[in-house]
Amino acid sequence: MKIGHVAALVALVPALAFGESAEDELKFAARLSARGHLEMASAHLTKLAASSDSSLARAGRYGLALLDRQQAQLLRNRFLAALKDGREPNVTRAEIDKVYAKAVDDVKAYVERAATDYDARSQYGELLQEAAEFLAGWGYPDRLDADVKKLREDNKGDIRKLFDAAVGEFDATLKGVRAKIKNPREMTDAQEFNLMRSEFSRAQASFRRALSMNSLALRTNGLEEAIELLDEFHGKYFNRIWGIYAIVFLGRAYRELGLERGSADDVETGLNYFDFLFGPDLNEDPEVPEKSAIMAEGFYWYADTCRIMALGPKAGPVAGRLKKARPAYWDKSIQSGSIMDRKLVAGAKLPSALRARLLIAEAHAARGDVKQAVSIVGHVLDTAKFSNLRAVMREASAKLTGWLAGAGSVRLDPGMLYQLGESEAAQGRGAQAIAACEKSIASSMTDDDIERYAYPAWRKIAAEYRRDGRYYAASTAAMKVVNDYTKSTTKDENSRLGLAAGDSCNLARKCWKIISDNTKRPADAQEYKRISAIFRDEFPGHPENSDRAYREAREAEGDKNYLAAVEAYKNIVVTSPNYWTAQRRIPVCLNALAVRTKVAAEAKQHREACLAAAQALSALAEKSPGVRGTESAKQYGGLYAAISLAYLERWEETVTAMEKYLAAYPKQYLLRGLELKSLIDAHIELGQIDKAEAALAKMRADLPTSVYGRKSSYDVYKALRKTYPTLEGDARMQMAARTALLWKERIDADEKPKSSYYSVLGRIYTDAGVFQEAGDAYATAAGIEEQTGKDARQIAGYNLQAAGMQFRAAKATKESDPQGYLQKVAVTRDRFMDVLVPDKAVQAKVFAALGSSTQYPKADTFAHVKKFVKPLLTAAEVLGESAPTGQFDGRWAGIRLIDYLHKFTAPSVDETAPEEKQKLQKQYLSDWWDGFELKLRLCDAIAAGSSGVEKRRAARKGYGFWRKMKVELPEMDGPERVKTAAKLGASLKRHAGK
Amino acid sequence: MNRKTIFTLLLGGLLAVPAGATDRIEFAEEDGTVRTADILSVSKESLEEFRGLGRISGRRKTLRIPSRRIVKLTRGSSEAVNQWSKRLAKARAMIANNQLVTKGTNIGADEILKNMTYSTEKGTPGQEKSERVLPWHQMYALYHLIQVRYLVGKDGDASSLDRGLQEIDQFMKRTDSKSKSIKWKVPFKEAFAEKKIHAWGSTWLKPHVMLLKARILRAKGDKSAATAAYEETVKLVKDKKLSPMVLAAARTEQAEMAAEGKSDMDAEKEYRNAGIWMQGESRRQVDAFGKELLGRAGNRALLHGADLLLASAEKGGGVSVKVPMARYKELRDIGGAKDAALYMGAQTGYGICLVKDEQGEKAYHALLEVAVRGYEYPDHVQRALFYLGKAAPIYAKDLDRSGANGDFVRKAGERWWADLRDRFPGSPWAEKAKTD
Repeated sequence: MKIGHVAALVALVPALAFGESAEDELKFAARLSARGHLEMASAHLTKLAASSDSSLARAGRYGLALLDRQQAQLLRNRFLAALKDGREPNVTRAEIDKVYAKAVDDVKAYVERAATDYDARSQYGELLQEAAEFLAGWGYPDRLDADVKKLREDNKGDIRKLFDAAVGEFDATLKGVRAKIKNPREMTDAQEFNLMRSEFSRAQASFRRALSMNSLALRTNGLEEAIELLDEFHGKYFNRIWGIYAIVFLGRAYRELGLERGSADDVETGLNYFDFLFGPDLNEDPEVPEKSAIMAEGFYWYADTCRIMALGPKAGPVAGRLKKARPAYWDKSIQSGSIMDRKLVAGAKLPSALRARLLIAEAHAARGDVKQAVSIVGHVLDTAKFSNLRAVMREASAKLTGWLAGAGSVRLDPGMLYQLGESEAAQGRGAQAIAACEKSIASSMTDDDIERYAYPAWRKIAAEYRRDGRYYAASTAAMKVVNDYTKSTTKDENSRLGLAAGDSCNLARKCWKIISDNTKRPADAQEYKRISAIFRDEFPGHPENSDRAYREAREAEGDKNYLAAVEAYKNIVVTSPNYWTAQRRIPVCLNALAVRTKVAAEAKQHREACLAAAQALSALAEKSPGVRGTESAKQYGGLYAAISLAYLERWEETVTAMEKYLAAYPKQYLLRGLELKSLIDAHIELGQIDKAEAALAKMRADLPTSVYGRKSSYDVYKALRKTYPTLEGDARMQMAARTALLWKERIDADEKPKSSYYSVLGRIYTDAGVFQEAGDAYATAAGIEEQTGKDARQIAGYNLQAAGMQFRAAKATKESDPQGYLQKVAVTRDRFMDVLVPDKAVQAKVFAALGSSTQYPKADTFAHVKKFVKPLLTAAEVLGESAPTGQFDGRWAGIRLIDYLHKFTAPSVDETAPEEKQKLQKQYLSDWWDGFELKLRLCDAIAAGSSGVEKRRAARKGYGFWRKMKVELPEMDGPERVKTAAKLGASLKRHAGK
Repeated sequence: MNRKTIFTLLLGGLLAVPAGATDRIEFAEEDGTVRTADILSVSKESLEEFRGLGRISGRRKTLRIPSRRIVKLTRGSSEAVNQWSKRLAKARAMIANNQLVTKGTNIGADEILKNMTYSTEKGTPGQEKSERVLPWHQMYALYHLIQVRYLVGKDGDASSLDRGLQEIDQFMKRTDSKSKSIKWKVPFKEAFAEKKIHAWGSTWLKPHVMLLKARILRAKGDKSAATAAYEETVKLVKDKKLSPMVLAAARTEQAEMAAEGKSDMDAEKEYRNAGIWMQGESRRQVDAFGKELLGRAGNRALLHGADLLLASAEKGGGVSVKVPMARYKELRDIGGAKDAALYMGAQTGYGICLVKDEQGEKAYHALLEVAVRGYEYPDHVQRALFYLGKAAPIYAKDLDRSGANGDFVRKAGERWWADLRDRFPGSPWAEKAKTD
């Protein structure tokens, strides 16, 4: 407050250092910045600084420097306001210090080049003081005294340096101003004014410096120096406004000195100085604003001093050493209040006056007269609200809320309580607002009070509950007003009760709409309709009722009568407050209509109409920039156009439109993800699979619970599944892995996944080259099938696949872990055998038979698996891999499996009809030849690893088979096969000997 | 009288010592409206009546008020010329500030009042008016002294209770006496001497002092003597048609005493009997003031009984929650129509029972009414807010089950608890809402 007033007085000083036009420019910039247009002011000054006119350029540079100071002040005020409210400041001390440092550097740079511009030097001194005071924690609330002490201790060097520099500037200014005066008796008004201001600034600087010091001696010495200077100044200019203003500082200096030394006499002297301001000297011309400001400030300091004295030493901002609290000072404070009421006519609305009143109210409260205290604060609140003094409003409501809690059964003014409720609501403190409004209702005894305050208070309570999402409570409170109105004998919609009831009814109606939308219960929908009917019938003049056309359109839309709604929306006149909302609803309705129309041709027609409406809406909004509602209209236009394009399958346009929309309104998913779904669809259709995947990732990040997530994920999966088989190598495997991931997510989300889902997953994993997972997937499929389908053939198939995958996974470890590999192969072999020969007794016979190189198992042993060609092949491979481990040589078993496979995949001409033969050949051709090659390999391996009869038998069997096929089908199934077979044949021939 | 004031009277009870600084009387009109008058002079104070001259809303008015309709009467003023009148006002203020007894050099109310009780100061010629002690100064001083004895004694000082009983004996002697003075042993030069002291004749304070006697005996733990004293008080008030406030207080306190140490179920019976008795007496009252006041006192006792039933059900004392639920509903629907305090209390209890019975929606709506419209009954509002937080998830779950979205109710439930903590930060319910 102190700084504010000094600034106000300094602002009266004309800046004489620049030319007239430069001054005008500076004043213009000052007006801009005072209205908060800092950027415009900055732009104007920057332009000025670049001017070719040196005077203008100088003014521009100076103005820019001062703008930095203003910026620092703004940040500082925000920071201190947050501390007072107990909020977390959104700017740090370090940031503000930085802005102050920049301001100091900028002004210094100017001042150094203009040493005789004393106005600027004086401003520089002020700035230095401000920066020092911020470092010293000025303006902190009392509860943070410890922080202030620490700040002063931490920054004591810098604080002192800044203050000394400020005093240096003021001294230099004073010297310069004095030097310009040749004859003190013949001073011009401007010279006298400059001298007076410089002397005042110098005296005040001592005071301000003293208060920021941490050491007691420095503080008291500084205060004594300040008292001397201020006293001298006052004596010299006692009949001038500055001289009177010095009294406030003299009073404050004595008060601080008294608190520091624990001297009640000094504090009393301070009070006497403030008291002097209430005397006759200021009574002449009390309407002069500066006098009112000084008086208000004096009253404030008087009351504040009384408060400190009444509460005792610890309550003061400075840790004083006065022995104990003196309640008599409350009386003094109250007496000063009555003087203030009489004297301060013109300045009653000044913040200082209002704050003084708050202190006087505190005095009343301390003496137990809460009613009086509350009444005064109510008045302050009223005035502050009228004058838009938000900080004072905050202080007043905080005090009131505290006192009201302790007011007990004291009956208070309902009007004031209602105001408090409004103020609390405006500050977003819902619970306190409701409490104050309830107290207002409880205090409203007369019919007039009830109409004036109780009903609006009910409405406010309802609004607060609604804002807080407590719809039942909001409706209960609101319907209290409505019921009283409908029961009243003299129903007048424009009476206070009528107006409150109309608003309340509308509010209750909206609450029930939300409730019934949530509960979807007919009884709640009925209640909504009932209250809507009351609103319609009882309050026809209510603004929301008066826009009947709009309401009817909404109702038609609510009834899903979209065409009628569109027509009604089109008829809303441009002057209606709902015009833009109505325009937005047109594409929305057409979209809903298109979605609900089952006949494709008609749906397309509506869709095209929706597209046209959306495009028209965007165009309309573009034509009316800045008008309220157009931004939202633009958004709707863009969104529905893009959506419609997607529905119309105009994919390229969809991508363009939707990407443009999402860039303009990131993360604003009005349709809960349909935006991204459309984009994904379009990318898939255009074959842009990577982009589709990216859009899906975005959808998952931004809208993890979107209803479209599952569908889009499936679509992307399908596209990937279709695409990856067309790729080769790593790209194929990577895409297959991504495909598997999506498919697995889908299966995991399914409560009862089918066995075939896992079979598909197994296939994709196989393509992705992850055999272990593939095996698991097949095993799961088999497990599910066992539980549900129980199709034995299917189960056997899945188990064979699982075993096959297990084998393939094991193969990868053959080189690195040969021993482990053999164990795995043994396990796999058993798994195969379990499937191929489930009956354990038969299996034993088969093993016995296989163990002998002379016996073959009967042909029908494998009959139940005869269609599983690939598993048989794999089984053969597995058996082939199982080296002789005692029971039997698996390789012979593998050879026999291949024989069996060949038997049913290539039956003789005599046995099979030609069509069947052709079909079989087509189906099993490559498998047949794979079996052929594997058989040769197995024979070759046995021959190479054995001797004697075994060697010859194996070699001859293989060699004979090769020769037979070479004669019968020399081209085999391809040149590669012929080549490989030839190599193996040659090797077998070598082993077979003669 | 408007209902709010009656409820305030019931809440305030009769213990509070009026702290006002001036001679003032609060009284009820026959229809129950409470008025306040500044007393300018008193012409008669008897067991049945108060007469004098007063000022009501700035107008002088002759006051003739049956003692049964006196709500509050303060005698002794800090603005009076008479020093004894000033002292009386000062002692009252000290009692209000809990400065009851002298401790070291800090003088307490007891010392001021004790000295007044026997003083025979007549004043110096020319100054009599301001210095002279009048009989009523002594009567009110003794009355307040008995109050001090009780207040000190109930906190554990047995000797104070004994002194209180002696002083009640003296009070009765001095008020029952037909002559203007009696002989009494009074403190004299660090001993006792028989002296002639003022007697005052009958006073409206008599039933109040009798009630104090019953309270003192109760505080001493002598239940049978206390019961007799309560009954004696009730008999006097009933026979002479005196203050219904005393009647309500005596009967309620008697039930309270009888319920001490008993199980919830047995205690409930005591309160129920007292409630029914007071409602019966209410019908026999001669004016609307008495009818309404006793009716409400009866309602409060019945409501308390229902609370005990609920407590018993909560403890699993063999009572189903349906029993208190039915009782609350009955109280709400029958007595609650004319008694907002009863309505809100019963509705709160009913809502709590519904919560215990897992009837989320009904409970939510019942408690909501108390939370939104019961602002004049903060005790009920606190309980209602707490149980709203409990009812909300049950209701929300029901909504979810029916295919609706109960989240909005669930969120509202959280907000009710936040409200409870914001608006009643020190309340045990707010504490419970933090830990539950």
